[in-house]
Amino acid sequence: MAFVVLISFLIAVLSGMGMGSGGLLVVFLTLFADVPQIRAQGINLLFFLFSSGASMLRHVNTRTLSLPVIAIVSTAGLLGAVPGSYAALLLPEKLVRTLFGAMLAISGTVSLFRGKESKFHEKNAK
Amino acid sequence: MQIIPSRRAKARLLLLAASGAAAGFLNGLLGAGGGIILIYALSALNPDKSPNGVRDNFASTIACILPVTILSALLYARDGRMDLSAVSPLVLPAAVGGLAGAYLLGRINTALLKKLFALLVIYSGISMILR
Repeated sequence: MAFVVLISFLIAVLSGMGMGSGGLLVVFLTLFADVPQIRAQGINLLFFLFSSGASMLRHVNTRTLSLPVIAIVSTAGLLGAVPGSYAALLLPEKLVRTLFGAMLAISGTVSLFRGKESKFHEKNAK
Repeated sequence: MQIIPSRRAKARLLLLAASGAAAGFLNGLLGAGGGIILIYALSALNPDKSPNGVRDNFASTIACILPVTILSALLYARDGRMDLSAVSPLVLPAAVGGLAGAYLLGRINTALLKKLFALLVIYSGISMILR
């Protein structure tokens, strides 16, 4: 349990720092704690609520946020979440796990190359 | 004053709505992943590419995905896919860790950490596909 708590803390720190938790908690729960995929996803949703909700307490005071943009995006997001949630209910769990793995692999690859692209822009801007 | 939205404003609105819907769908389907779509969409629309602009985009992404996550969590709970007893020991480390991370954002050089994290995420993804 102590190990799970420590891992959770570290994932939350990374999330708050802008790394995105990347669903790592789901990976940890499914691969190392033998939690079923959908249940792990449910745990991850709550985990994200607390970790990112806490980080927003700071971001609200220190960052510039555009309320119209947030309103548009989150409203559209709420509309997308309903079919997504039902799809998770209907699809076989193994397929959801495969899709989850593919999401991680793609997002990790994009993040890796995006970092190089940002560096390129920073160098050229100077 | 322009009353009819310009083509550019319409395209911007469409991108925001489409990325929001896609992020919401991923969030509901996989319990994660919506943020990665939004961070790119918001970065594309924000002309400020400075480190402050990047951090603003990140904070905005969280602000956008939080209500979506609340809804997804409620839907999961309603369908019996939520295990509150498993989550309760993680609440405090999640909150403390999130606050700590927000405090560290912009204070430490995360370039190498981001690369290592990206590699870890890729490895995790492949492990899940092959399992």
